[in-house]
Amino acid sequence: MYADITFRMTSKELFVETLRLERNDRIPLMLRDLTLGLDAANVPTDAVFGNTYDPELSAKSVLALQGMMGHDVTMGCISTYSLEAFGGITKYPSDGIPYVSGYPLAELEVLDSLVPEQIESDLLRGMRRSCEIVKERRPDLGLCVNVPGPMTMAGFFRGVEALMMDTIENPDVAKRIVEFSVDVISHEMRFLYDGIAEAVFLASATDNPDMIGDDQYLALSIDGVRRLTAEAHDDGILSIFHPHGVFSTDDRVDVLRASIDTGIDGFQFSEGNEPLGVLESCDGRCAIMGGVNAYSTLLLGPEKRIVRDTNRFLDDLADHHYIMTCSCSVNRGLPLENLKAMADTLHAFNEGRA
Amino acid sequence: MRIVHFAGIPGSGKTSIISASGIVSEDCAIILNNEHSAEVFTGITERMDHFPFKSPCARVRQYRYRIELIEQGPLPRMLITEPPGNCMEVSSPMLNAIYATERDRFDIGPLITVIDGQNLLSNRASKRSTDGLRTFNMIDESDVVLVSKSDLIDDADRDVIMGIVESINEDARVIFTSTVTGEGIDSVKDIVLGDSVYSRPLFN
Repeated sequence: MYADITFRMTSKELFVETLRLERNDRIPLMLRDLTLGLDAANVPTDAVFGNTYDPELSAKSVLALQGMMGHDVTMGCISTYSLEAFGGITKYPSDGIPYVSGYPLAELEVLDSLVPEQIESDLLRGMRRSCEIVKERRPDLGLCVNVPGPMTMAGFFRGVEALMMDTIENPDVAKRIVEFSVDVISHEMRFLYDGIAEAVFLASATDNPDMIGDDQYLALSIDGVRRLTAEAHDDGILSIFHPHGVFSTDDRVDVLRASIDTGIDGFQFSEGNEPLGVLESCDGRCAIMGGVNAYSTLLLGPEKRIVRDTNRFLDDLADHHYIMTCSCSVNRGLPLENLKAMADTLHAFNEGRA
Repeated sequence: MRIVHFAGIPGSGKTSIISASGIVSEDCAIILNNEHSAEVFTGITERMDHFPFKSPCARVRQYRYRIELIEQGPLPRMLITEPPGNCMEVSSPMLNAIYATERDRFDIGPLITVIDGQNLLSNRASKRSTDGLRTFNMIDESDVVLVSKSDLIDDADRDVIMGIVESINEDARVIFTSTVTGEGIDSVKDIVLGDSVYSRPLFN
């Protein structure tokens, strides 16, 4: 919507061209709108995740939030993990965020009976249908499907603590779980993006060198990201990687560069990073993404602080290939007016540039 | 119930300072990062718990859930918390979530961060190193900075440490502490039992 006004180009084109490092004169806004749309449309969480997934209600929620914030790129659906397909348990509090409460691989012997194709369940079909509805109603918007990264998916399957112990006590088992997880992610992302999305987002909280160490990160996360990125590229889809942890420091330069060397098109840094430290390695090689802290500034405000922090990111990054996000996904409970203050600051910046 | 949170990376001295200050009593509950620290408080309070999960993305939810478990028993006057997760991340996200939704129910005391003085002299809170950036972010969000193991720090290095902290967060109260000499321990007790509040992450 905003991209149309002054540039006669769509948000989708702006998003793709920025990820391809083809332009940097206008900053796209991408929100990982996993559940915040439910607040925008005043929909209970368990109304979408009832007996069956309600794609119409999901799409309505996604578009309600987009109407408020004017972001250029959406994830297209109210998201969950789809682990039910493997025997996992996810809980859906009516006014809260879905969370995993039972891990499919709590007992390791189950692994032999699982196949990656199981991910293509009713839940995933519902999320896919929501993305299709959003695309039908707003073809001008960018669509980026959200899936977990390698260690993050493995953590959902096994439980993070058990997986951490596996990496120490039984590394072959840990490797096998991660490889299976990458197979599942491959099916999931292809099922979601086929014919409708421009990019895939590898959401990777547990692909985190602070948590698993540099060596495990390089051994277990990087290979998976490289494979998934190559597969996405083969399908004509761009790839964005969002690992957690510190990447902006001198002692992590090799880890950051190895991440970028996987061929990703965008790198989103999380909280606790110095943007300029990340930029030194990303610049000219992939788009840089990140922004205002979702857990402090956006949660609490006040508006003056949100505007200040948003402008700081723009000061540091706007002259590069930058896609503004906030530090992590946006979920229900985040004050809508705070997120709008961030979005409006960016829109004003872009209009000023025009 | 008053909640006072002690942050700091593993080995900085959080549990030792909490123990030495005598703030944990029968009427005080504590949620530890490491369940093996519980023996320190055995016989002092029965209201103990720990954060079992190390995943960073579960920290906020886990923090609130463990407080709920404490609330299911007789409400203590005071709750001391250490960080969930692996103690390497900042603590304000957990306290902010409580502040945003339940500040009418809880008296949220200052965010106290324990920094090993020798480590600070080594990494200088430089944003160019991972340890330094962690230290920087933790100092930046703190209401109170406890510089631990002060018996190992000479006067010249104390000036250096004060300079580093003040350059990051001029609002922080800085206290040098030692469980060997007892330096600063009474001040910690006064802060925890007093009426100062959580503020720095809300306004910085």
